[in-house]
Order: sequence, then structure tokens, then C-alpha cells
Amino acid sequence: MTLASLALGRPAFAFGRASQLTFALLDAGDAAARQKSWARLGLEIESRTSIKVSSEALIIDPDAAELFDYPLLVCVGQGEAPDWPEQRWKRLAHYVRSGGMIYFDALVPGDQFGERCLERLARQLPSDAATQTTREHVLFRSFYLLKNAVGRGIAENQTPILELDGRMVALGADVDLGGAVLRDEFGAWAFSCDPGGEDQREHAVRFGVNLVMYALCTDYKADQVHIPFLLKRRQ
Amino acid sequence: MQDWRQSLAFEPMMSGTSLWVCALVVICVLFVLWRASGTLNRRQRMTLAGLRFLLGAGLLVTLLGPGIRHERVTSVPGTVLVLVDRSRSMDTKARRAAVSRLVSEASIESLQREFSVLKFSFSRSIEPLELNSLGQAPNGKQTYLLASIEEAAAAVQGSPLAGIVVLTDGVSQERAEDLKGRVRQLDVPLLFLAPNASKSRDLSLSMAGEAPVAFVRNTRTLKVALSGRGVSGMEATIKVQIPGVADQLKRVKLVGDPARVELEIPFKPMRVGRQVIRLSTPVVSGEEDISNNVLLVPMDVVRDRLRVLLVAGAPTWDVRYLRRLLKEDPGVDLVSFFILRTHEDSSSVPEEELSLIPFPERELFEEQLHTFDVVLFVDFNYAPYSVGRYLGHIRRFVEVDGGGFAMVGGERSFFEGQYQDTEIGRLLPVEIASATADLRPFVPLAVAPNHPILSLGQSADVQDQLASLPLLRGRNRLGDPKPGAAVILAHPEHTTTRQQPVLVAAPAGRGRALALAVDSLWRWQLPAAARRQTARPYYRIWHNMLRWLSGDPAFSRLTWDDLPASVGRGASLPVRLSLRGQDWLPQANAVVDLSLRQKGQPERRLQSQTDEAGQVQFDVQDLAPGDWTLKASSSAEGRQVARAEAIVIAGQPSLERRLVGPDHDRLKRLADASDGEVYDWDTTQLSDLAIDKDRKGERIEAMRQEPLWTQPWWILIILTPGFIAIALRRRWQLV
Repeated sequence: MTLASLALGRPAFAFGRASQLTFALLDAGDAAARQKSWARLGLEIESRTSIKVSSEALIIDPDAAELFDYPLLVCVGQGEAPDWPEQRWKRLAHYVRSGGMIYFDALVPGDQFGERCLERLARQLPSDAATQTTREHVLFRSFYLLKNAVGRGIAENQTPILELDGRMVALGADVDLGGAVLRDEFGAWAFSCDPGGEDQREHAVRFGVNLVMYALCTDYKADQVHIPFLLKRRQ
Repeated sequence: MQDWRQSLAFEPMMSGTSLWVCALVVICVLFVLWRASGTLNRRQRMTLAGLRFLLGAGLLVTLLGPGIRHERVTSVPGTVLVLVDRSRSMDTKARRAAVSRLVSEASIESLQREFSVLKFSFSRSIEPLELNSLGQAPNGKQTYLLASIEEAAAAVQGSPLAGIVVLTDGVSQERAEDLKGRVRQLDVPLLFLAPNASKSRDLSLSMAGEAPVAFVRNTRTLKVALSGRGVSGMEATIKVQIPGVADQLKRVKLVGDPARVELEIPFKPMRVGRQVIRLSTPVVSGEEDISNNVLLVPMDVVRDRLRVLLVAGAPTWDVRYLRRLLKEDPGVDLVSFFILRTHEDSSSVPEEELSLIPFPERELFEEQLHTFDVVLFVDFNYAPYSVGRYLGHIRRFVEVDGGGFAMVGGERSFFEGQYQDTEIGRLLPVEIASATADLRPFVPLAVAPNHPILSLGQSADVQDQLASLPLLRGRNRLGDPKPGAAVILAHPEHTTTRQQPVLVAAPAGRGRALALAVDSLWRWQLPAAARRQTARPYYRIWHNMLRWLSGDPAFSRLTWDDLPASVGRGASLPVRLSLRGQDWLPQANAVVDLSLRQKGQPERRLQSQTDEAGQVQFDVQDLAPGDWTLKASSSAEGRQVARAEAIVIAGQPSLERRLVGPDHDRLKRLADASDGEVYDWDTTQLSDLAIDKDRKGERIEAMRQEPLWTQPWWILIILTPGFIAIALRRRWQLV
């Protein structure tokens, strides 16, 4: 090591936003209600993992040219799937086939919004794409060891997903992950987490971390070299 | 002795077609007459028909021109074929001496007193034999014994074969299929003159099957055979020398005469490329041929899968798409490690609630490093993980073991990762600029558009292809390329005086190193899909980089052009090489060094200059037998910039010499099937052979033909049935 480099010390992270993870929320009507949630979740992820997250979450038009610049999209809403034209769903299907991933979530725990969106998107994909997670799914061990999807609510059943070539390309959780990490303007939690309270909120954050880890690492944790270790840990 | 011999012969008066027409006319006439005689009683009708048939047949026979042939014949002696085996297995002192003694001018003249003698030499096929050529060493690479005998027999015309004399050791590579049938078809005794089996001693190592294609780090089995003659009961030792493995000694007992023992030798090659396994067995006293006591087996070791170690400093989109590419490639065996949490990150959660494992730096960079072909550092900083002590291992892995190493950009790579003045910094093909990253998006400049890494699978101009792809977002700043390095991509501000490389590659010792100073190559994947473009350029450039890193010969600047795998004893070895420059165009007027090494032999060094086509040629003479390692290299500014390595085997005995003779069993089977015999050539002369003198031929000295149809009696006999028919018709008052 040279004296010059010692004097400089460790260089500051230099690539900035270009190399960071940016949450992009699909504009389906309710994105603004959870925009700050995902920025907040980004802070949690950055403090807990080596992932660098942009401090702002973006709302993006589903027809925007830059949609494909964001490999992870979040879509929140309630009730039925957005009444988008067929061409828009086809574009989203092309997006996931090309390597992108979409997380659909509900504004209200237990709402079927995510599932409806998956059903709508699945029409543009191979018939065997629709499936659901199992307890052993990599999503639940990509960073933390979890049992199911957690947010403001808890998924009672396994979560519906879309898979292509063994890769999860879309997930409909309906647990309001964003709501669990949202704070009001005074810094207090905006919503309570039921029935688990603060412990559940912590698990919601962990689920958010795992979700992002999966988007970035896919089935990395399923690699054979990790299996003996993970099996030992679960005993 | 001369005599006249008579025989019936025909000389037709007209052509075959005309004869057939005549026969048809006769048959038609007979048929019409038969139909016309329907009013007669049965006896009369049958009698007339018979007489008319005899008349018609007689006329037709007359048209065939019958005659008596008178021949004056003379008896001639039978033919004896003398065949001499001129294959390499006959190239021993004793065998050459025996052949010269047996097939002398005097012995052939003696044979010619009673027979017509034709002489041939044979190995794969026959050739006329000149006795004075017997002084030269036999050099036929293969022997086809029975096929050669059949070919010689077919060459004989006129005189019957009285016998076929074959001087051979019986060593033959042809399969004995339908042996008896083929020999009987010859209808002549086969008389073999062969060495005395009890006096021959020989040990020979040979392959017992094809040399297997070996996969690196996979155990394969080499099947070899030790054959012996005159060594029954002996316990032989075989020394096995495999590159990179301690020498092994194997002991086998030879039982029977001839004896043959097959051995299976497992081996696990650790390096890709051609290697030579050497097997040898000591020479026993009185051994006829010692050249076949050594067997060199060239083994082409290939990869079953490219083993890639991917180490990433953090999960990023660049790593995510690269890992997906590698995982989806069936030709890649990927082990990846991502740093998911650093020491600086919050760690309040109990470990048992995490799926994290400690970074196994010692296992990866000390114990298992040699099992990989390529190591990729993607946005990885070594300092926080105690990896600094292993950076030298990675450099040795590349420079000594021939591995490939690439550093991919990011906020933890190059200057940002503090790699300057480290072992990795010295390994990289480019200087690391002491400057922080440039965040401006850019279209890379194709500095070496002909470089195979930039073969992006489309016909368009490379620069146009790059311009059509999404912008790359930022870069680590690199300095000047090191001598011999090829700048493949650069920043648009790149000039020859102020270099701004982005993708640089160079050989490093036995291996290769590559620097890619961006972390946004993934944008050629998903963002490219937004424009309905395929991700082909992304896949192609990564596959090309991996091929280059793994030492794919097609990605080498210096390549062998049709280098033979082996050369015969005493033959010259033509060596041609092609050299490409940093821009991957043929490099003219460059010096290429060639060294040839064999253990126990002085190293040979040659040097030449490439021509306008970037090619250079050497003609290597007088290579001693054995395996020669050829190393070619080209240097620039004192640093090796291109190298190529190959192995050539010189003077290896052919299969012919690895089959221990004499093969009396084969000769006995052939002799028995033909009512012939096998003789010991040490105690037999050509004149002693029991050749049947009664199998003679004959020659017609004179011939004349007397036609019968001109004789009055012949005409009378032929016409008589007609006269009788006319007479009977008158008598029966039918006229």
C-alpha cells in the first residue's frame, strides 16, 4: 500500500445512485400511499445488509420507457387488478420474461389485490407459471429464516407466485408490507401490526429484506454449498 | 513332351442374335405344322412332329458350326509365389538375417528349376520384390497377411499355383473372419517360413483400447496391455509416469507363451490440454525388440464444465444477471459467494435466525482455488474479509497454474477496492488509476473491434452494435495498459496519449487476466429488452470473456497451424504458427521463439520472424524419440504477450511393432486350412519345402479346327428325318 493511498484512506463509495437499488412503484392508483414506506424499508435494508439502496422510491408509469431500468417493481392497490389495457399486461409479461420481478401487495391485509394481479399477468405467461411458495422456498431463507410472508398482516397460507424456469418472477403477498414499515410525519408507526404487534413488524422488515435479497440473488441460497449449513441451522 | 488332343468345338456361322431369330423361326414353323396336322390320327401326328423336330434341331446345330478341334499341348511347371513380410515387426537383426539367407539368388534359382517363381514383398499390400532391396530395413506400418496372399494369388495367370511360400513372423492386424473359407478358395497350399517361437523373447506395451478423452479433475482409466513371448512365468514391472502425479510401479505376472496381461490404470488429470502418460518396462536379456518396451500415450484433457468461482462484494444487479447467465449455462459449474452483510451492518438479530454463513476465505482461496478454472471478483473489496493474505494465491493460480482471473467494476473494485500495489494489482493487465469513479453514462469505444471478445453475434459493425445498446453507467478509472495487454473497450475520451481503458485483457504467465471497469453491463440485458432487443450481446460478451479467461485456444493470439500430433522416426517436424497483434489482426515482422524440450535431451531453441500474414514456420529435424514439449512465445517490451504450448511425440513404434511375434497360432490355422505347413526358418531352406510338383500347367503350342457341317455324311444325317417325313406322308397318302 502506498503512502498516497494511506493518506487518501478508503475511497468513498463512488458509483452513487447508478449502482444502488431503487424501488420503483408501478403507478396503479395507490402507489403514492406507500411511496415513503419503501424508502423507509430501503433504509432498513441498507442498515442490515451490504445492499446499497436509493433513499427515494420512485413512482413509474407502466408505459414508461425506463421501466426496464428497474429490475424490481412494486405494485400496490386494493380490490381487483388494475383495469389496464391488454398491451400493458403484455409489456409487463415481457418485462418479467426478460429478467424483471414484480411484487404485488395490498393496501389492506387480506385483500386479494395481489392474487388478482397475478391471475391477470399469468394469462400472458405459460400455463404452468402460476404456483405458490412452499415453506422451503428460497424467498424465506434468502437472508433471514422465515416461515411466510409478513407485513401489516400475516399470510395464513402459502403465497401465490409466478415462476419461469424455476425463477420467481412475480409475487402477490397481500400482507401490506409497506404499511408495516410506514411512519407518520411525527415518526410514529402509521399502522399497527396485527396480531403480532412489534415482533410482527420486525418480521415484516425481515420479509422485505428477504424479498429484495431474492430479487438480487434469486436462488443463491439454494446453491448446494449452502445446503449443509442451512440444514444444520434449522435443526 | 508334346501330344495332339481332339475336342468338339463350335464356331457359329452367325451372330448370337441371328441364331436366336433362326431358332424362333424353326419353332414357329414346327408349331404351324403341328396345328395343320390336326386331322391325322395320333400316331401319324406324333411321328411327323418328331421327325420335323429332329430336322429343325439338326439345322440349328449346323448353324452353330460344329467341328473337331485339334490342339498340340505342352506341359509347363506350376507357379510358386514367394512372399516376404516387409512390415516393421520384421525389423529385427535376426529376422532380417534369416530373410536374406532364405531368399537369396541361389535359392530362388534352385526353385526356378522346377517351378515358375514370382516374388512379392508385402505389408499392407503386395509389391514386386527386388532381392537387393532386402538389405533395407522393413518399414511397413501394418500387415494384412491373408489379404496380401489373396492379392498375390490373383496376380497369377495361366500357370496353376503349386504353392505359396510366405516368409513372415505372422504378426498381422487383419481380423481372421471366415479364414477357412478364404483359404480354401485359394486352393493352394500355404507354406510358411517363420522364426522359431521358442527362441524369441520380447516384451511389448500397447494400448488395450482407445486412448480415452479425459476430463480435467475426473478420474479415467487407461487400459494397456503387456504382451510377452518367451517370458512365461516372469514377473514384470511396469513404471507409470503421469504428469503431476508421483511415479507408480505395477507388477504383473506373465503366464503362457505368448502371454498377455491387461492392466487398468486410473488417473486424474489436473490440467487441461495435451499430456503424455509414459509407461515402460525393463528390457529382459535376449529381447528381440526393445523399442516396444516404452509406450507414450498422448492424452487430450478437456473440461467437462468450466468451473467458475464468482465472488461478489454485495448483491447488485450486475452480479444478479451475471450469476443467472452462469447458472443457466450447462457448460459452467458455478460456485458463487456474495457478501450479504458487512461488519458495518447492523447485527442485532440472533445468528440462528439468519441464513448467513461466514465467508469461507481460507477454503476458497487456499484449499479449493486449484479446482477452479476462472475466478471472478465482481465489485469485491478484499480488505474487510482477511482476503489480503490470499491475493498472492490468486496471482499464482493465474501465473503458475494457468487459471483465469477477472475483476469487474463497482464501488468496491480497482482503486475503490484499494487493489493498487497488491498482488492483484500486479496481476491485472492494466494500471489502476488513483482516481475515483467517473459516473457519467457512456457508449464504450471498440478499440480492438477484431478481438474475439467483441464477437457479439451480429453482422453489424461492432461500434454500431455498442451504440445501439443501453448506456453504461459510470466506470472505475483505469490507467495505462501494461505491455502486451489488449485494450478492447475504452471510454469515448480514450486517445493513444491519454488512455481511458474500460475492458483490458492480457496473458499473465501461464494464465490470463482481465479487467472490466464497469458495473452496469447488466444494462445490456433487461434494459436492452425494453427496446425489443435481444440480450445476445450481453450473453456473447460474457461467454467470450469466459472462453478467453479459460484459455480457449481459439482466443489465443499465437496458434498452431495443423501441428501433427506425432512424427515418425527420423522425419522432420513442420511447425507453423499464426500470430495476431493487440488489435487481433495478423502481426507481421514479430519475433516468435520456439523451444523444444524433452527430459534427458538438450533443449532446442529456434527463432523466426512472422511474415506479412502473421505466420511463421520452423522445420525441426532430427528429433530424438520421445515426447517433446513445444513452447512458442512472442514478446513485446520484455513481456511475453502471446504463448502457445503443445506436445509432439517423435519416433514412437507403431502398433505393428507392439504385437509380439512370431504368431505361430495364426500361421498354423492358415496352413491347416490349405493343407500347407509351418516351417522353422532356422532349419529349412526353400528347396526343402514340400511343394507339389504335379500341380503343373499346360501350354497350347498349335491348334486347328475341322468343320463337321461341310462333311457329306453330316448333311445326310441332318436331312434324313426330313426325307423320312416326306416318305411317310406319301405312304399315308397325305400329299
